[in-house]
Amino acid sequence: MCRAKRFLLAFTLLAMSAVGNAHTADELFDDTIIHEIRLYLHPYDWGQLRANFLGNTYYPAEIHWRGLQVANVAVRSRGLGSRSGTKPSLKVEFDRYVKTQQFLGLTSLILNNSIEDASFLRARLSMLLFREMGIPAPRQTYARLYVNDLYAGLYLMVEPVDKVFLARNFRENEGHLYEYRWRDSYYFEYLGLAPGLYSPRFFEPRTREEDFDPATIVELIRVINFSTDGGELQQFLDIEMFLRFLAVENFLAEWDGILGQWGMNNFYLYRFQGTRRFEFIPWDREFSFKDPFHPISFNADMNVLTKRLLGIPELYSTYLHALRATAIQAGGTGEWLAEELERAYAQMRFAALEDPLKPVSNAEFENEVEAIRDFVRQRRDYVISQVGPVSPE
Amino acid sequence: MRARSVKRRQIRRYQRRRIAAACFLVLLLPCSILAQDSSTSTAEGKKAEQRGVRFTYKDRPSLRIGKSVRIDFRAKFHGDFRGFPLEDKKKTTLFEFRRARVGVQGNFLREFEYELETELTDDQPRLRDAYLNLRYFRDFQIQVGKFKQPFGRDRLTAFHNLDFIFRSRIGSEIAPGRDIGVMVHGRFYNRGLNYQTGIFRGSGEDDASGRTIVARLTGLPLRLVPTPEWLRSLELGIAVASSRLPEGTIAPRGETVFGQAFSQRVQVNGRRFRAGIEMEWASGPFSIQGEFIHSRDGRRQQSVRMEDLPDAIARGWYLGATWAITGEKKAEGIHPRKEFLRNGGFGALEVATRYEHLRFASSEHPGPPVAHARAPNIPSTSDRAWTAGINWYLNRYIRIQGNVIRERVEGFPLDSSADRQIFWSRIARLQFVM
Repeated sequence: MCRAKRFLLAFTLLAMSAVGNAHTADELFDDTIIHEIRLYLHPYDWGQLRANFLGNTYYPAEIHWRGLQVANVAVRSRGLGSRSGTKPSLKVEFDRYVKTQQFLGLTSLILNNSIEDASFLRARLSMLLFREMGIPAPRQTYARLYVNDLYAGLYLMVEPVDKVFLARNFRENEGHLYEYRWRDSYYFEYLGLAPGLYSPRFFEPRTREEDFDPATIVELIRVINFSTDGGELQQFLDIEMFLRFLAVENFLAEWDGILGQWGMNNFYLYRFQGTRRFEFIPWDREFSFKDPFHPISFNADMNVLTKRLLGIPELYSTYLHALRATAIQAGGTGEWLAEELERAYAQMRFAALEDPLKPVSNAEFENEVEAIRDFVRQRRDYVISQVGPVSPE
Repeated sequence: MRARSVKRRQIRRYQRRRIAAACFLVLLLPCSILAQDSSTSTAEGKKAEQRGVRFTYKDRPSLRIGKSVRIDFRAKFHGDFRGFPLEDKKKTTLFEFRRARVGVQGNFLREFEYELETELTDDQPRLRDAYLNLRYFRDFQIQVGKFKQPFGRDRLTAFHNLDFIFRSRIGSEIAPGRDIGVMVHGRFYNRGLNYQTGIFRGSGEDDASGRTIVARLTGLPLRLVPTPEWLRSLELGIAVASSRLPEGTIAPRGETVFGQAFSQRVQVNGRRFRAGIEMEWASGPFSIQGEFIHSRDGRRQQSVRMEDLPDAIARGWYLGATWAITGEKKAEGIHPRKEFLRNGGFGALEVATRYEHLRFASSEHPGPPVAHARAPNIPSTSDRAWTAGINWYLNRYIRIQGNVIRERVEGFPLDSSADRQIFWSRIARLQFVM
């Protein structure tokens, strides 16, 4: 009897520990639910982080999720325009203080404050559409964030674009990853031979920092600007993939992407290991869904790469095909994108309304959601009307 | 906007350093001539003492108003030529105008002493020392103002009297510095026993700790017992300091000689307790000096969950020795018997060496060491430095020093640039003090 009890106890403990360890990053980014993240920072550090939100100082913290807890994690303020002292956007690094530490296989996690998107929907729906169209994009899900057990607001939990992301999406991560850093209005113009004019100035290395090889970026930009042979560009870019990326971005009426209003912004560039082939990865999409009648070739003439590609009739046709496919996938009222919108809204509405630190009122939040609904209702038809009849590829 | 302001500050600092450098050169050129007139008109001076305002020059310019006021004008300049580290192929040698201090000191009404001194190379010129000392009772003097706290022999030695170009690591990193306060001090048994105790606003200008109470006792115990003459100059001392640590205070952080951090930044709260013992001995041309300091910082409610953490510990020691090859006595400071370029003189030459160790850790070690400001177990890091130096005293104003320093950092190298564990540095200093 006693032995049976012991066995039962051991079995139960084993089962519990198995459940505890069974969590995966997929569960962390499970977007069918709203998550709860608890961060513990010393109140002095939290005050310092908020007071010095423009800095990148790391503070030690402890993170809790679904009964799992990780100590000795590093937290810092992050972002460009989204930096805030009231509701800071946060980067949580698991391996900064303990080099081998990971959390569900992740080395870091972004907690986006969404202060540039009063609807809390833009980035989430944008990344969903990118992924739906076959473009690797970071996963995002909602989380109620508690700091020292006080509700700190609704956040978007974002998968960082790093080696873990690369391995998951490309099955390799030893290539060169660059984050595009907005400095001024730049659209792939050739600035000269010096590598420093491009990288790390615009293209900041995020892997292989010691050996970030800016020469290949110079070569890419030289080819974009001067090659007479479209085939040469094909060595650097999967053009069909890039045009699909562009189509999704334009369908979403993005104002701050590759065809951004103020120059290129919000993307990563990954060069595959041992090749010269680059791939674009979208990032931070909080200026999308702005206008359902956003032109389908917005700013294409400003960007050297897109001007060049869309100036070739066959490639322009490919772009229109991609745009049409995106519009069809998104759909109109009651279809895929509208359903995703309502699903996301239902998940996070109460958390958003209760968010004491969001920079907008509850009425403004609801109005923004309504504006996105309106966008979704009209965008598909507008895009298809602009694309017109497209010859089969 | 911010960049412009930084640029302006850099320009201002550069201009101030240029002015200081110009002063340095102006003073440097005639000083060897001035040095020859050390005892001008001493007899005349005694007679003239009774006569109102007069200007004298003995070691330094001085203004006297009768017997009641004395104002000595002082100037101290340091220029460093440094090359570091020796093993680095891309080593840079650079000149730094490191210190330019001017000030006055003296006394008035017989019983009041004072000193005012400012540093010209600081971004914001500020008074380094500004104090008044009442010495009516020699065994119970009261000093008020801003001055060095009575703790640590090396820290209390004026920079121009140091045997080495840099202070010891414990003198720089652990001992308290200058602050505003009041101190009672005195001497007994013909300087055989000295005490200093005071209360200060903090523990130094760059130290965030709060009210600090300090006490120091030094003495020459072998004077009291029959011992050989050469042993009687052995001076021993003990000092303690206790400071309040407000929230947000950072514990002393270990830095190598050239300022590279080698220990973890640690948040502390509660009390900082420091204790030190010291010794000095000088006989003829030889001297030995040593010191040990232990510092313990409370970390009350400093974990991320606001629990108490084990105290942060900093501990170190040094032992140094000097030998004046040219035979001058060390006890009262080296004064060349024959000054350089005067009657074929060479000046005085002294060699010196010092070994030191500074270590940081926590008082207990729960769990593995982690390198962040609120880690329960602070990674143990240490710096062992060996310095070999030569001091050439050209005359009473000018000294040229050369030091070679070997440092070995152990434990967690925190900066990526600190991957190299052994640092070789060399430095030369030209010093003018009047």
